[in-house]
Amino acid sequence: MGRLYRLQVTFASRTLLRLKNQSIFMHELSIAQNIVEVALEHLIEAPGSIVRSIRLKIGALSCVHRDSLMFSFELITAETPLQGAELIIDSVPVVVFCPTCQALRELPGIQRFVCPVCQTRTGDIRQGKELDIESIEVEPVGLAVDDAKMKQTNPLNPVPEI
Amino acid sequence: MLEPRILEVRTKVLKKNDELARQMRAEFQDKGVLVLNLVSSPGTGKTAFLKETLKRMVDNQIPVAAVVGDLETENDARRLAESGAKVRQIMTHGMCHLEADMVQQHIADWNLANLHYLFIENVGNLVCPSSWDLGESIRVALLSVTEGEDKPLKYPNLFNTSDIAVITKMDLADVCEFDRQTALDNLDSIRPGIRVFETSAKTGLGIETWIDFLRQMRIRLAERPSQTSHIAS
Repeated sequence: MGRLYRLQVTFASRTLLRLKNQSIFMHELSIAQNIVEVALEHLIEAPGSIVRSIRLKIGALSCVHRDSLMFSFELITAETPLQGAELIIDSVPVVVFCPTCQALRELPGIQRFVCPVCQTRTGDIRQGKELDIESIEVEPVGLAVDDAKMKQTNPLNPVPEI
Repeated sequence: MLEPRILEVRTKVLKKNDELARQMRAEFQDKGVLVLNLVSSPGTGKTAFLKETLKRMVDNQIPVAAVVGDLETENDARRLAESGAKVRQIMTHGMCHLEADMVQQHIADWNLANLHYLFIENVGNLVCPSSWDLGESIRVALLSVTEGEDKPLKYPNLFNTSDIAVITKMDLADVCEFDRQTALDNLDSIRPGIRVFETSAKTGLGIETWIDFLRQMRIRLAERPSQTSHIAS
């Protein structure tokens, strides 16, 4: 793995740390940070690459606001190997098991846990709590690009003295 | 050769927190500690409810402790400590919820083997805490009569991920024209079968029933071979 690339990963981690220290937290920002951490772990498998997109599966019960998540993600990934990466979000509706119908039923919302067919109340949730990273699309770009990028400065992540 | 490629990841976004929470839960069970995560809006009366619970437990020589999360100040820890229980404040400095590692760090020097119950009073917030497992055995959502019966419908995620609901400030129910049946129906609509305790920290209503329930839950905890999830659900 290239030295510059390793440094970039280090810088990205430092951005996370700085954000933590600066306490500009909100729910989706914490979620975005966790996404970045997982992505950085996997980037080690693809040295010298940038991330093009990250595919997420987000259940209706996961309590994550899509736009806030996108905003937070953009904010914390600037000038990292994840800069410009697209978040592709697959929304997952709630599915419950109805004990009367003995069948899986999709709910239209998250306010009434009632079988939409027979009206039996059921809390047997089989789907809808997901907050998963499905896959990461990476593109090898070589170190030259990384080098150019390194010279820029992210206000949240100034290039430290080496 | 320099083609983009897809790395299959298939992992939970919060896997780090979830894994730590799982380890913590196993350790709590191993040491015989029943852990409760209390979640509600700011102002529901979590601290008053918890203080009354702690006080009665301490009076009965039950080994109990609490950690309390707030954005700033140690006021709640001070209030809770008046009960005589061991209490520690977690200041999140702006963060809207507690995470497993914060709890772990704040109780690191406690001897869990000497504890029977540990309460985690989460940051007052009805949105964020629902995503973060703190290693608890039971998640308790609190709702006060002053907040309106439809709170569970407005914030379904939090009530849906909770195992138990506690209605607080029942002494104010009449003044607030609290519609008890509607509140119970709404809770049951969001979380069918959820057990509800109706309480007042001021008059002591329901607190003994609640403590009895905790005793039973702790026995159940000891009987379980290995605890992987919440026990009250």
